[in-house]
Amino acid sequence: LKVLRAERDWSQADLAERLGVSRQTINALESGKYDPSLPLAFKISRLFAQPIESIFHPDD
Amino acid sequence: VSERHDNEPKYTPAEVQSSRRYFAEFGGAMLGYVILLPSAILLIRRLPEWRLGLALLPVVPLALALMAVLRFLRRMDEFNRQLQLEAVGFAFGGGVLATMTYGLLESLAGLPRISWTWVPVVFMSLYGLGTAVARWRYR
Repeated sequence: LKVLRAERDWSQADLAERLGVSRQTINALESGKYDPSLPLAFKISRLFAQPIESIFHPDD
Repeated sequence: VSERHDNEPKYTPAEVQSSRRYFAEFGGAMLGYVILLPSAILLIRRLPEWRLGLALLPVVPLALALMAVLRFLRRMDEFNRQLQLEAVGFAFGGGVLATMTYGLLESLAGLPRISWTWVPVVFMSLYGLGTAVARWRYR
């Protein structure tokens, strides 16, 4: 997620705004401390135009 | 990977808006409370026969404050709700433990009786502590 975000040169705040979540949430997702709900994972996948399994891995 | 987000605003515009709304609603309710509480005390002195209803007057803004909190919770995203669940769970469990402990000390060990109005103070303090702990865990 961090890499995808950096590729687009978005800050955590930019990504948070696009996903309608808080910056803290992006931070927790990127540090692997929080697993997104299915709706949020689909939103992220749609935003980056990549399948969910290429962004999130079961062992994360 | 760049870390330039360190200098970015901490909150998104939607979060700022949601917080402002919460502080307006909650602050308004608290303002109502600080006005109604002394009013109720003064009125009870003049109209002691109405004291039951008058003593409940400050409860109205407190109920409005509760609604403000619940509305704020519903506006939060899923991660912040999880944080809040941990904080509230800590406060609820800790509050039950603290009040039960003192209740036993009071009734069995003869410690002085204290007012019920201390109960919310205990729960609110533990909620504050619980929020800090939850934020620290997911920092």
